[in-house]
Order: sequence, then structure tokens, then C-alpha cells
Amino acid sequence: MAGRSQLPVQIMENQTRFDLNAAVENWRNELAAQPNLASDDRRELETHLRDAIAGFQQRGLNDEESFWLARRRVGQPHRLRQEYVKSNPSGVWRERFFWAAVILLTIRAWTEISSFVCSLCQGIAVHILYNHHSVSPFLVWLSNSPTSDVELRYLSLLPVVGIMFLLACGKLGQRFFWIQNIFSSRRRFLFVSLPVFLVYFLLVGSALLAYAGYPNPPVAIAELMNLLYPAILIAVIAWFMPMQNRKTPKRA
Amino acid sequence: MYKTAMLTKDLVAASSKPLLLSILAGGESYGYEIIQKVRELSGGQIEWSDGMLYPVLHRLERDGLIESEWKEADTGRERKYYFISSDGRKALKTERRQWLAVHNSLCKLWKIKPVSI
Repeated sequence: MAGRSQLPVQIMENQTRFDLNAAVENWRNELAAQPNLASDDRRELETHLRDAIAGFQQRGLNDEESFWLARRRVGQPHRLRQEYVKSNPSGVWRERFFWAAVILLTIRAWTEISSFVCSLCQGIAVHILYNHHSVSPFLVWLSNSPTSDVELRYLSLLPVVGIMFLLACGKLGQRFFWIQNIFSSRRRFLFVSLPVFLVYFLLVGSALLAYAGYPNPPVAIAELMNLLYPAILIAVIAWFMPMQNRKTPKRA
Repeated sequence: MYKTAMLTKDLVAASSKPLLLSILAGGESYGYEIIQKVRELSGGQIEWSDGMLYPVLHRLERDGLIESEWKEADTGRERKYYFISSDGRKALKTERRQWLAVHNSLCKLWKIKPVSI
């Protein structure tokens, strides 16, 4: 077949006509996905891209060639972001604080969840042992397991560390991609995290007050302050969140 | 493509400030035009990557050496124009003295006629 000898680019050219505006639109969206690029920066880069395209067109290149060459000239969106970050180092620190807070909050949430699950299991084991007169050694072990032990808390961190390691090695691929959506805007992050925090605060706080409030109010208050720690982390994350400006820049 | 070697990365970075200030001292300009001008002036020896230019311009702007404004060009297309400030002109004078000092020292070493400062 004659078609087989054709280059893929030629086949594409024959099959679909290149839409310059759509290509620029795609490029703009790609740029918009880069945090740390203000809308003004993106608008400026877009005028540059359009100037470069016009420059190549004047030299007799077609739309598609002009677009790809101009795109190459302007640079890859993530490289652009790196260049902008280099010239604005405070942005880098904001990002570092942001990630530090994210990790602290993740670890805190994970230890809370795991100790909750542990005490739930312990409660169930105790319930079965006493009400059903079971003598299963597993249940006995479970009912005696020290759920608040420091060792257990650190042991429960192993999965988090494991996931971090796999992510850093690139072994998990796109499986955790959905997490990025939570961090795509300040509003979305607060919309997810604040209700979770409120439920946590009310549940644990009320249990704590009922348990420790009467005999020892100062301890209960100290514990309540400790419960506010995730709220501080949430505030730090929202404050330092890298902005992804979704607003479309003005047409140049 | 070019017979003469391209400038090293360090030299490109160091020379960007005096080049930008000198170009803008000759009149307002925008990113694309600046890059074209630098390419033309150096006969292709100084090849600025387009993405690198804007962070440098923005840094100069933060330092108060240049200012910027969105303006509509003759073609009807809006562009961000940069122009030099009075502080920028002062900085350019200093840059000029320093670069010529380096240039003249090298000229003497290489036995080429130096230029007057």
C-alpha cells in the first residue's frame, strides 16, 4: 500500500486540517495548569507565542509548522514555570511550606484514623469476649493491645511512608491523580477539608469532654487545643497553596 | 549553524541586564521584539531562550529599573511594553562602566585597541 510509506505527520495532515486557534487554546490550557504562573504572565507568554507564530508565517511556513516551532521557542510549560520560579524565590518557599504542611496533616490524619480503627477493634473484641464468653486467643490479644502506644502509632505510619516511597519512585503512576483535584483551588480544598475537620473536632472533642471533662478540666482543655492543631495546618495549606489561575487571560 | 561559538550560559545570564537596559534605553519594546533585536545585534551568537527573557524582565521591573504597561499595538494586538526608568538609566551607566572596564583590560592583554569610557 502506498499509504504505508507515508510519515505519520503526513497522514495526520491529510486526515485532519490543523486548527491553529484550537492548538493555541490547548497550549493556553496547558499553561494554565502550571502553578506559580500569574494570569498576567500567561497572557504575556501567549502574546509572545502569537508573535512568534506570525513571524514564522511571514517566512512562508504553514499554520502547523509555525505553531510547533513557536511553541518550541517559547518553551515547555513546566520549564517555563521553573524559570519563573527561579526569578521569584519566595514562591519556592511558599511551595515548600505548603508541602510540609500537607505531609504533617497527612501523617496526623493517618495516625488519628489508625488509632480510631485500633480502639474500635479493641472495643469489639472486648464486647465479644465478655458477652459471648469466647476464649479465642486472637480476641484476647486484640482486647489487650495497647492502642495508644507510641510504637503502634509509628508502626501505623508505615503505609504512609510506603506510599510516599512508591510515589517518589514513580511506581504508582496516575493512581493517586485524584488527590491533585483537591488541591486545584483554595476553595475546593477548604470545601473538602473543613467539614472533615469539623466532624473530627466535634466527635473527638465531645468524647474527650465527656471522658475527661469532669475529673480534670485543664487536661481536657489542653487536649482540645491539641485538636485544633490540624486546623492550623489546614490554614497554612490554604494560605500557601500554589495558585492555579483558571481565569482565561484576555485575548491578545 | 553559526561558525562562531555561542555564548556560555553564565555569560548569557550576566550580560542580559546591560543588554536589556541598553535596548530599552533606545525606546520601549516588548518581549518578542527584544529577542529578535538581540539575535540580530549579535549575529546569532547570543541566543536567548524565549522563556528565560520574561523572568529577567520581571526581576528588573521588581528592582525598579524598568516599568511595564499593556498597550495596543498598530496591529490591534495588545502587548506588554517595557520601558526604562530613571533608576534604570543610572544602573545602565554603572553597567556600562563595569563592562568596559572588563573589555578594556582584555583588550590590553590581547593587544587590541581599547575603547574610550
